[in-house]
Amino acid sequence: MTDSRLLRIIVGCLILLSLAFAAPAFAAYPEKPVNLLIPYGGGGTTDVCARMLANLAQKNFASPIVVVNRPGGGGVLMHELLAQAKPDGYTLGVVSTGVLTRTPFLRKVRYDPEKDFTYIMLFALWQYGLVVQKDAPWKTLDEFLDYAKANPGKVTYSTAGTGSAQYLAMEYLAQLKGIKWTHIPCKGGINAVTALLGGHVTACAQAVEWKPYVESGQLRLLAVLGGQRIPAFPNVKTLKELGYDYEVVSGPGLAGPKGMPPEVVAYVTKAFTEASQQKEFLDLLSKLEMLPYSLNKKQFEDYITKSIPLKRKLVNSLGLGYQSK
Amino acid sequence: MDNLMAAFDMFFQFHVVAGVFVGVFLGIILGSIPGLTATMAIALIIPMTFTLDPVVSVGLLVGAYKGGNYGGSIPAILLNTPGTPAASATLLDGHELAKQGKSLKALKMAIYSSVMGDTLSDLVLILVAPPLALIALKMGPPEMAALIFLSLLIITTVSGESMIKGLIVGAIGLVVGTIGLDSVTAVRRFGFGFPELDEGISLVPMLIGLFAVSEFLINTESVGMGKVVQFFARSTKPEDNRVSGKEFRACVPPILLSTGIGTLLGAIPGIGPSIAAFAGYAQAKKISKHPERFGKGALEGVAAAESGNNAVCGANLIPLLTLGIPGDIGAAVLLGAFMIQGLHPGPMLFQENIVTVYAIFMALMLANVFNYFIGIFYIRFASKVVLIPKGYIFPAVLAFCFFGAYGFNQSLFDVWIVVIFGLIGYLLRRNGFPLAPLLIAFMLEPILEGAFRQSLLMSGGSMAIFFTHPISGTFLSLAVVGIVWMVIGGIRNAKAKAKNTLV
Amino acid sequence: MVKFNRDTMAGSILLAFSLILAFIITPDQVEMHRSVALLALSPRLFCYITAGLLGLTSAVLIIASLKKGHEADAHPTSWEPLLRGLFCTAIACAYAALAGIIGFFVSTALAMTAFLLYFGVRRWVGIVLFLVVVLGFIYVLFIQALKVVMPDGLLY
Repeated sequence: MTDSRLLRIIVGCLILLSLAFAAPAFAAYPEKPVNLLIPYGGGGTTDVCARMLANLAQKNFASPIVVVNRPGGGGVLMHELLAQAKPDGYTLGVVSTGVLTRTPFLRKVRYDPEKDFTYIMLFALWQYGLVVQKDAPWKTLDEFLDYAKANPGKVTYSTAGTGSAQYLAMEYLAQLKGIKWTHIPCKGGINAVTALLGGHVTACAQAVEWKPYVESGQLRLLAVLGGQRIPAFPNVKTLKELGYDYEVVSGPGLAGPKGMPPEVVAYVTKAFTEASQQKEFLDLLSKLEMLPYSLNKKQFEDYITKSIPLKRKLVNSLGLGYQSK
Repeated sequence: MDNLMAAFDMFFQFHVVAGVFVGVFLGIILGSIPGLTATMAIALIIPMTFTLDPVVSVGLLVGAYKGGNYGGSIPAILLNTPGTPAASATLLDGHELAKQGKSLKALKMAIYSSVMGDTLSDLVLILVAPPLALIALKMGPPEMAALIFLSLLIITTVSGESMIKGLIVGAIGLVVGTIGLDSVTAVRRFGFGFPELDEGISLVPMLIGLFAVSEFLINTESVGMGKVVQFFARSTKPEDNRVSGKEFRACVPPILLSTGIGTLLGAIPGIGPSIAAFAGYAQAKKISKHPERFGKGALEGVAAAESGNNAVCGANLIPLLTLGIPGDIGAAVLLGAFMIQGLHPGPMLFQENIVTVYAIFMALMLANVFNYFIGIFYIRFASKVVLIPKGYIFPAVLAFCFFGAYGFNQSLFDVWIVVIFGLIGYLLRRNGFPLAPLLIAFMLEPILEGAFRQSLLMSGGSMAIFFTHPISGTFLSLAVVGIVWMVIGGIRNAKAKAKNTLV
Repeated sequence: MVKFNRDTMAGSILLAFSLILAFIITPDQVEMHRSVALLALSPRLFCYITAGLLGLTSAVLIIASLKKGHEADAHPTSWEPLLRGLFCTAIACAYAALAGIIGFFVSTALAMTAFLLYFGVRRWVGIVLFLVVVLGFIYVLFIQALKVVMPDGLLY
């Protein structure tokens, strides 16, 4: 915990430093309204938190930030539009790590995550966990995995869909341990949790839609799939802590088309980074059950370059995706 | 009791009551404009609720949800174009009544039945939400697949005169429903290079095209070229402009039946108000002494459709509040709004925030009251729309359709969906095909397919799973009985017809 | 002598469409999966089922209409109204296409004028008043209240 906080302070200082040097270099930007594209429809968590972030960033922004919803194709459409936009800083987008690092291997898209974007920051994370019913015999992840290995084909688990981050995590575990289990893709995370509550599946790997049921004791959280423990359940270990070299990093970030001028990037970074650290925004994140998390430009780029080959390998080895045909 | 008092204090403040009022008002207006829906209103109200306190914003949103659901019936009756998907069952008889000059009668019946259906299902929500929530949990994939199969069977056979045409149109709806990403393997189906199609064809633009634009095109055939045509005249006889006590009493059984169906279907997530409206309509036709009047201006038809779709509003909140499962798009947007307010629907909500829950219940009941009064007041103006010459109304409706379709996702692609489905709807109607089965089959296909394939995954490919699960087995046997019944009825009808023609 | 009535034609068109759907469009537009072992996993399963249903029901319609063929069509087919409907569809298409090029409001104004003229409104005052009221209302509702962002067009 302290490590990450220290890291964040260092990152913050670095950003401020870089800003201090960059500051005198620009004056012109922004001279007209800036469009911030959102890959999903109005009213969803991404929409809500991006709008709040834009509101807060507005205080440090000389021209209006206009939030535009561009839903379609599970977020793909906006990423394509963003990749094709003019890199003048007047079109920015809220990108999703899933659409960047997984979707391109599942189906054909008209953007290249490694070449088409200027990454600015990642500002929050969704939290994932593996849950089972309260009267299930397994108290730990290892017990559960051992059972699944010993009983091939008996265990079913639900997620919000094939190709989702949590699905890949589960299949990673299956490959590692040689487990044969059945994935039941549901429409939406809440339906995945309901399938478990109703006893239609053995387990559920999902974002924190299960939280109220774990709190009320109806479900048991076996492991956290992300890199950090979930604040509400400090005793449940992450996959890494349990000895598996895998973590789900999935969240919304900010990016623009490739080739944005550095001074524009600096300006945007400053406004949005400050906004993402305000209490109002952090409160909203905790209401939406998201983890405040920041990656700066460099870290975000590193994450993308590191993540892509890994996901490609995983998706292909599962026989998913159009490229593996 | 203390909780109840606290909830009263929380609720009966000027700004809360005003919030509900404004919500209902906006909902009715937006719902009554073809092309705009309550969901859109809710989604766009949400950013405004950031700064309001939870009860006010929930009151505002719940009001808009209910008002919008009712408001859709107004253009359905007057212009034969449903304002919201849920109102597409209302037009079957509502517009026929309007053609006979009885538009005010139909509009009034729509309010009475909407408010009744709404209130009764709210009472169910308030009194027995937790046990009903169990229904949602018991409905696993095989149960869901069987239920949808049964619903499809019931509904596609009701509307229109020719059963085979209804079935064809239903099949077209199923085909359209398969467009988009495959739910199990996440591969593209019928993408034709448009990522916009990955999430399937959007319901709202498709509805607008199918009903509103096709109505527009039908009218371009008869209207125009030189002469200005008035709408149908409104009857001046007082008995055609009000609902008599006798007529109302005749509508009570279908209202109660339809409310019951709407409440049950509403408690099952994913089915939604449109299906409930059609299912209620179909059953009301079955129990009616004059089923032949349905589709030709039966007041019971309007009553059943409207009470059915509004009963879903309250019932939809059962899985939403108790389990956090939204039953339709409107409820999904509401869920997001609850979360922004720090309210987490689910089992803990009733324990941690019981005062807020009571206050929400009060908002629901108050919204019904407002719905009634605003509705009664509003239809006086709205019904004047038919006094404007058709030549002005239809171009305006088309403009609203285009803007509404664009505004929903801010996508020109959706405008093209409107045009394409407008043409499809026009050609189908011209050849005597009903449109409602297309809409219903389209909405149910993804649920049916998802549930069917999930079941097969669970059973390792064996179809036996649908018969060994008691609930799904029951639904399927009902479906089989229904098919046998239909076939016998069809043969009997054909024989009767043959006899008649011989004589 | 069998008369070729409207239902026969509609049924034949739909039957042809379902065959094209099943044998040409589906294999072309629905990717298959390498890992498909179970029928339930195949993304094409429901494409075939639904196309089959459509084909089957269309075939029934054709047979039924051929049986009724001797009753002849009650309404003799006249092409004129259909042509009018298709003409207006074409205007609607132009409206949609122009919306993305010259802007939504301008194309709406043009399309509305065209339709008003088509519907027989000849008074210019009426047309101008109509445009002002409708476009004004749309502007207030969509741009001011709902904050919808319009597509970039050359004109507004």
